[in-house]
Amino acid sequence: MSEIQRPKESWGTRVGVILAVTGSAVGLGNFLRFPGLLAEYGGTFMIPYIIAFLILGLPIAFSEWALGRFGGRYGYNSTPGVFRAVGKRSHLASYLATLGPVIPILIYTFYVFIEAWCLGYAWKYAFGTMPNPDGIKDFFASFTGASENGILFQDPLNNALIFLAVCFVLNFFLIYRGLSKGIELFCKIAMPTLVLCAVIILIRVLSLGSNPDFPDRSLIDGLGYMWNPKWDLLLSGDIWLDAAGQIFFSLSVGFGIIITYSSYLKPNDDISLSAITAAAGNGFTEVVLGGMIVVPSAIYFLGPETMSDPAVNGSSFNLGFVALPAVFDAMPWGNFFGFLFFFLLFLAAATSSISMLQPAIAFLEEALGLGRRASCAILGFITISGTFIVIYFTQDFAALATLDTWIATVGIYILATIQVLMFGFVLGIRKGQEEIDRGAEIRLPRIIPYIVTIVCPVYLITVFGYWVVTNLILDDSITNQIKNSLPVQITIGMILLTIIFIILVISEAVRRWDRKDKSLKGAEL
Amino acid sequence: MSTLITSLAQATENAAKAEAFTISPIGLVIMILAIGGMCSLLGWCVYKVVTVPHPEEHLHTQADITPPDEIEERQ
Repeated sequence: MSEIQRPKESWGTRVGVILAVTGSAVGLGNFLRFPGLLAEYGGTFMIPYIIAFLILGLPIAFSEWALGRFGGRYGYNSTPGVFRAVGKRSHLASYLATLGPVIPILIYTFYVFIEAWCLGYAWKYAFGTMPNPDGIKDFFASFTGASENGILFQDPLNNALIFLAVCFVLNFFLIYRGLSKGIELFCKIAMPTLVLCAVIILIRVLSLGSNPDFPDRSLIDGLGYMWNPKWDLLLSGDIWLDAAGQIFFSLSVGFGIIITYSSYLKPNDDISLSAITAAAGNGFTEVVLGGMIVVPSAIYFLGPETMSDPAVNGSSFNLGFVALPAVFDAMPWGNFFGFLFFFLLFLAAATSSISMLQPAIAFLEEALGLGRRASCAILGFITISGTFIVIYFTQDFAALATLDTWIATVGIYILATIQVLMFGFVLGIRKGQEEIDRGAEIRLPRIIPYIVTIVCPVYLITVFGYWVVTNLILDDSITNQIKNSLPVQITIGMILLTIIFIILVISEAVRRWDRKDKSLKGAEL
Repeated sequence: MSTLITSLAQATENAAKAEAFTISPIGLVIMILAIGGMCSLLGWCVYKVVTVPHPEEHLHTQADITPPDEIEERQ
């Protein structure tokens, strides 16, 4: 296969890098999952959340930034390439990074579908065609196909499919334009717009006062419902598991995205301040904006019984796409605020979903020597195939839930564990510290590489072990689904096929990289 | 530790019974600390990003990055 000479890519500005990484991190989890967890566990949730942020999220983020920039010095932009550079051309290192391209590709296949829901809701609010609260459950079921498998294809112009097509075209257009003119430019516009939308809604929520129709519902009650601690829950393992999962999903660590993004930096560019700023931006969006909008307004307009409703409690989808439309219906200027909210959700989802495509594009380009057009075409085929399974098996979101469990939960724990072990034991603590310090604009505590090497693997393996015991050993619902549900079996088949495909591409990449290294050595002799 | 947590849980439960969902003093403290902490952290980061001077050509294309292998080759 002849190698296509392509221009090397890079970030345009430092603010652009930070906004792109923040945009990758800020997603639906910030505005839907985090408020739901806070309402479930109360203010107590902040204790494991902050601990997970400090000793899991931030250190792993530092290690990913350092690994990525290290690999970028050798011209690698994908996780398998970066691991090869760290592992001193070891083939095993590249194969250990198999999940690096797999995770973002497969998460994209369902994330883009939810992105389409947000765009569809925003569109309907903008044109005043959202149904009233009585019909919202039926509308959600028909719009997303939750009622029956394959139902979306019966009337594709009147449900989420048309918006899915728009999202696909937009995402691939941005990716095709490249790093600086696509991702960076979009994030520079989308992130400030997102924050502006959120601030406008937040001001509206904070000025609610007491509900004149229901004196027992007020903004203060909403805040109390969320922030009053429930100390007894602190002894439950679930709160620690949920906090770790939230930090992971929210900061986008363990996705292979930060490694790719930071590989485009120059060797002496700062990573310490950039990493903290991106994490802080994500935390601000999550705690201050996301945490203060959804639940207080739901309590104010719908009452605390809504949050206790099993249909809403514990389900980010129902909270966001069923309960919130009822809130906007009861709110003066509801269509305007409904549009703002779902448009900001769409922007949050779009900045995240384009970041999921870049690691795979970088991998296909450097592994097979493809140009941008060819790599976009291959990735388009893979993601459309995967998304087809997600949008066909929509009943109870079986395919989506399976991908969420095995990729967005199990997969990211495994990849994050491999990453911290590569950082601590292959790159090494001393070299890792040097890598973090090079060009650093703030001095990080010396203990960070030790936390990455010792604390993070123990924390990750413990939390993951707890998940395996509670979800696979003590509870047989997941294993029963694998045995009895055809959609689940097909989805797992898709996951395995993707893994096999990536392993085959890695084997070709390793051969190419070896040939290149040998030719360089030959030239040297 | 578990006794302390149980006592706190009972106190919180009693307070909840007395005043439905009105935010409790400790809930208010947690909220202020969480929101204040995140705002302060982001504010400090933005201040550092804006004020710390860095070279004008801070970010370059990868074309002008010389991988270690090429350095060895040239030598």
